[in-house]
Amino acid sequence: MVDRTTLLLGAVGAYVLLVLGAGYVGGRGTDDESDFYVAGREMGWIPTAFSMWATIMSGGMVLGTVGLFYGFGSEMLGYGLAYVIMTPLAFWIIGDKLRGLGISRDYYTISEFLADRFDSDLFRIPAGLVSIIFLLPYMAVGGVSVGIILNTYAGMPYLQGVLLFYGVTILYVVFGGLKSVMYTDVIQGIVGITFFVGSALAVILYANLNPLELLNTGASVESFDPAGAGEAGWYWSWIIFLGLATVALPDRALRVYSVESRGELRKTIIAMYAIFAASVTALIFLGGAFRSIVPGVEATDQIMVLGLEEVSALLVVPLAVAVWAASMSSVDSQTIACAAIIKRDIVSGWKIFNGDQKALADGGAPDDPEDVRSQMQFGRVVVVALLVTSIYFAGTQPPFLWDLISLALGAFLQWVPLMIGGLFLTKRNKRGAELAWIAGIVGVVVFTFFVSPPLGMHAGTVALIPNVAIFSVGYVFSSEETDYRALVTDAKAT
Amino acid sequence: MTTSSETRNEAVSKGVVSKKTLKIGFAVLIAIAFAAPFTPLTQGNMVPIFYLAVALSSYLMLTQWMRLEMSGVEEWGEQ
Repeated sequence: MVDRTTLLLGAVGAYVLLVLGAGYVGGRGTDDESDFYVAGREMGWIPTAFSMWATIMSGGMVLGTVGLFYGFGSEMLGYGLAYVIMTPLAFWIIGDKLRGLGISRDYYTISEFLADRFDSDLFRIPAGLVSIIFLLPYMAVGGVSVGIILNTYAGMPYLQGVLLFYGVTILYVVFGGLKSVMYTDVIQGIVGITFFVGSALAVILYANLNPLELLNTGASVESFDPAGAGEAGWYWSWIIFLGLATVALPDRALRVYSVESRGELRKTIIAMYAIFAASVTALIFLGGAFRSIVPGVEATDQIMVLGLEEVSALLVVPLAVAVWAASMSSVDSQTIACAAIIKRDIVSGWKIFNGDQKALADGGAPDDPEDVRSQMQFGRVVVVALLVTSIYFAGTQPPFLWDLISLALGAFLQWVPLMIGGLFLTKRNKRGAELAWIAGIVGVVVFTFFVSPPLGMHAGTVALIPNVAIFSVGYVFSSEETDYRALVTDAKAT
Repeated sequence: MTTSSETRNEAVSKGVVSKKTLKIGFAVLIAIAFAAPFTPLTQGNMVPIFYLAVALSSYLMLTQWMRLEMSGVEEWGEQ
């Protein structure tokens, strides 16, 4: 009989070949920068929905989130409601307009939109650098997850697993850019949702539990006492933090820009909602069931592995494939997003800063049609450099790596008030937007490292308070109207 | 886009709601989500609230999908 290690390596190997095949098929015909960064803006709802889901699903989500449901019970339902209510709404309201503007103004990044809307250079090079700083550790976490899983369950040396993971990623991302990424994401997304729902069903059947009573002991009405609203604060914070940060992360923005029409984007959001609802419900089931199957585990980040092994040792095989899929689908997207930021916010931002009116007018698109291919080659070189940097971070595993994930989400959440204000308000409010964003970023850092956030909230959620306050005050005192609102209205019809 | 009463009646018969109803539906969902910790309905168990939210949002999303599939009702009930 084949042992588990051989089975695991075989499953991962077969999966890698499948992904490389999808990357090749999807990436053929990648001829210019638009193909490379925004998939030619011609994607339909099926690849985009799976791509959105696959990008959001990370190795940390597969391995760690069930542990949070296990440890904190109903308080974590804010996480579920974030993905079921807030994220689809945010994409519906913001994404729709952003997609149209992406086409009419040739945007690849969110900060390009903000720089254009608020007429501010702060949202070009400085915002681009801040984005890169926050995204790089995020990209390393995927490699760490895969390295640990392959080391623990297949006996592969950690660094070897990390190198294998990034080596495969480099191959298809360099080949086909976002087109390859989105085609591979269909496979990665199907693997992810199948794993979540399948393992939840297996565990529920094994434990013979009542789904209505899952997590019942997690939080009572009493524990949400407003007088000591720590738990309720955390619950609410999940809804805001996760529900809104998702729409502001650069890798998600690329998906919005890549959709071919307004109708396809709306179908994308509805399909994405369905996948979220199924996966989050599965996470709740798993967290509740593991409370019964393996009670009293303190290291909750181990609970997914311990719980599945309790049901069947063979379930570690699909777990390893799911961790690989979840990690790779996040890292590849973040790599393309980082490359777009470097190209558009930093390189083109530098041209604009130096008074290059052509760069300002066309958003940094190639000056000469014959230059199109070399511009794409630049993107490929940047992708390789970014993934090599990720190997370094994943290989050395700096102790602060995991803390930086929450910091990164909190930092990108600070875009949201500016995005909403920029899309729906009529005054320019340049200074208000600049100061609001700075206050938000400073707030995230302060509440992450120096001051405990009140009511158990996330640092990013608390930092929204000064952010929104400053933006609002700036808006009240701003007198200059902007003609950008007309562009937003026109973009809606695109 | 002006919707003919015939098209609108067909949409209604298929369960498609107007945009105004949709907005109210999502406002109710958000209210449920934020008020859930304090509502006596929970009786110490928040999981049924989550199921309720999923059921309501699924209905709203489904009706939106049907709207996208039907011509002539895209902007119905905008006001």
